[in-house]
Amino acid sequence: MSGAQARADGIAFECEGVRESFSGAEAHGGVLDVSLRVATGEFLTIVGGSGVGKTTLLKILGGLAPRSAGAVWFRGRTVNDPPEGVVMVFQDYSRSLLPWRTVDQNMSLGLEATALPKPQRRDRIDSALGKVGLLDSKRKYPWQLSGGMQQRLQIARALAVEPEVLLMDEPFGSLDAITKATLQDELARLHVETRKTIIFVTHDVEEAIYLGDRVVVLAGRPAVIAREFEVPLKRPRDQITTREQPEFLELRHHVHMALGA
Amino acid sequence: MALARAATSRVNIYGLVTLVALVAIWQLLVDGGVVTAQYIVAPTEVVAAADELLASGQLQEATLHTLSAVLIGWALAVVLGLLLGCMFGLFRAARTYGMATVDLLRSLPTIALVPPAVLVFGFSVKMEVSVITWAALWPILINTAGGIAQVPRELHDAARTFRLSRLRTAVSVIVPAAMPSIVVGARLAMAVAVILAIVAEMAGNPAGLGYEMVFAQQAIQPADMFAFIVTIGLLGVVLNAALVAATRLVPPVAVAESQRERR
Repeated sequence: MSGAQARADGIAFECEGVRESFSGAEAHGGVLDVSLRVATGEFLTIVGGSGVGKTTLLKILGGLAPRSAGAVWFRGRTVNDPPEGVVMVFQDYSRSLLPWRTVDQNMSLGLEATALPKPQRRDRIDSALGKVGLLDSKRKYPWQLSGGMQQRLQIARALAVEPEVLLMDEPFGSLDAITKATLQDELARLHVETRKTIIFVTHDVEEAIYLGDRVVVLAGRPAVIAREFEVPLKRPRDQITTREQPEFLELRHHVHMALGA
Repeated sequence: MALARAATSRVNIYGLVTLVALVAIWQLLVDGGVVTAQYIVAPTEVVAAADELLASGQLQEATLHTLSAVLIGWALAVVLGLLLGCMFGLFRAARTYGMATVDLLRSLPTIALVPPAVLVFGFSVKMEVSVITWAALWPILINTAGGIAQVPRELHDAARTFRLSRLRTAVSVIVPAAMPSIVVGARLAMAVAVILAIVAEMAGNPAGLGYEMVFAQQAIQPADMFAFIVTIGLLGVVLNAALVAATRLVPPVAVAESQRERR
């Protein structure tokens, strides 16, 4: 599919026959064979067991990892390096933030590659920090914040560059259940407000259904897209009532079955 | 603020008490006639000798010489070591081609290089500084390259996803992340620099504390000799303390320390 066509069709990401065969130390990562299309503005969740290659797939989409075969397009252009307009949010926030920089200074990291003038940077940083409720912690260091706040900071840092696509690698995986629920709702709200395309990787089946417009199940060896489910739940969703709906429970059943659990 | 708190160093009073007690025991042993060796003198005699050396200006002159040789040699080593360390840390090709040479050169005992250095540079401060720089270079180089190698994968990926240039990534992310390790290298280098300055002065350059100490020994002036030895010890302690205080002002180091304190 050509670039112009892709844009007209509202396709953000497309990949075809993406394979990855590891060698050496990373051999535990397994092997991938994936074809996928992600629409502009879509919230796609990718769910799979650990070591199945979810992170690798996401890194390949983000231009952060090489692939051994296949093609990846972002808005019709082949992805080899990180494309403009795509930012990844990492699982391990404590290793992804710069511990020697304050919250404010961490925010500017993403803007250092842009030619944005200073006052506009300020606005961007403040507006992104405001979206995640961190304006009051500007002068703190990341390690002075709770895990949930650190992950909010990482999300805000990504939002500050105003990307079209957020690639999120199990961002809530190491948070406690209560913080996780809060951040899920904040992310869902951000998605509705900004209409950004989000590709969200998780091993949590309920999280995948709760957040996604569409859930893709990655399983097998080589890992392939075992099943795809449209999520019929309407937004805004609610942590209690949505999760009690028969559609939610039915989907949960099917996703678990597809995972082979 | 965390930075200010990290910059203030604490004085260990109990540690000082032990030191004072040890000096007092030394004094008592000599005064009480327990130690009768002819050339072991009491601390009071050492202080008297130091006082005389201060009055004549000899002690200040020697200290100033050694201090400047150490600082110049160490500063050159820091600059060179940082540059080479970054090169080895950032470029795989540099490691592939150069690391074997580094490992070979740094395992040569530097003291063995004093005679050839004297031959090349003569009995001069140039000889002293070059020997100091050579010895102090390796800990900085190794710790810089090692610190860079240990920067977590996630920081590299974060810099890449934000499309930072390689230079920007090195300056804003990689080198600051390696800074705590670089500072350890700089401290090791300072200790090595003091040792090599004394050795170079004992064996080659006729100036400074090392030379004066040997001169006092050969002139059978044990009180003077001990005065110079104590001065050398103090010089090492003061230099290390000053360096620790200075590096605590570097944000990545200050932050690493306050993080450690929190744990």
